[in-house]
Amino acid sequence: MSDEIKPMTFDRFRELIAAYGASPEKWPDQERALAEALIATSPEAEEIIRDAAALDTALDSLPTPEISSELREGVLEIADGLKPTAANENRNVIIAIAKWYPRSNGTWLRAAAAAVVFGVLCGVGVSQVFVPPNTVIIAQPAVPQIIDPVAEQEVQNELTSFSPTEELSAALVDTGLQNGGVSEESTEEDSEIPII
Amino acid sequence: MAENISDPVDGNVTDRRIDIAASVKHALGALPERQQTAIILVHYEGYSGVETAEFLDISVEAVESLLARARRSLRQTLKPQAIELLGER
Repeated sequence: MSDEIKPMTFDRFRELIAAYGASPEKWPDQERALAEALIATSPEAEEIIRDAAALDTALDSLPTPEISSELREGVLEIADGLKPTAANENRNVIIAIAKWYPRSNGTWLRAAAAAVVFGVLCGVGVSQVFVPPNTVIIAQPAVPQIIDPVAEQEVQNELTSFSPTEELSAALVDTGLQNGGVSEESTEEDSEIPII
Repeated sequence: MAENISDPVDGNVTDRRIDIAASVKHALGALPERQQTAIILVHYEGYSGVETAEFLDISVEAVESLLARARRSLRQTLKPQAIELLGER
């Protein structure tokens, strides 16, 4: 991820609008003022904005709740809870798994099982952290899968024999959850979980 | 007695907007999944490019590329509807 602030050349302005559309609130914070200044002085920039606004208007005709595909129901509702807040410690856990998953050869089941282990290590409930398969689409949009009770039971079964791979162990270390990221206020429940 | 007759003009506009929304939904659904995810996260959910990059584990530049390709496809598909909507303003 780059924090570099690009100069607001006309080419960069085109890129910006092509990606984010005509609404300044969607533009990167650090480029908004520069882009607005360019619009104020360039009729050509104004034309680009008008063109992008047409598509924005068409997109806005579809209210967000109507995008009720598996993608929205699964991935995005969870992602909506992942806004970075001090109270949301799950966010880093989910993101860590999302980053780990596409590099693995495992199934979503392993990712879900890992999520449960992460969740317990973090001191939160399984239901709060359990990652349905759609969540993995955040990292690797593949074939959406629908979680069902059978699949959930499979996760529970998997947990009984869950043995983390070296890759998962490395992911735990990366997130700091293995060393230092775990609350010292361990409970008796923690001791029942295989500590990696 | 009060009449309860719907305005045929407003009714047509509403019907047309529903049609356009259906077209948008169809066009979104036809996008490759990562483009679809990027558009929904940024345009509809209001996440920034940086946040979206983090979710997708890609660079901000890659997110912008996904968004640009998605919008280009949507624009081609939805151009007639977009022009019509602008005309109603």
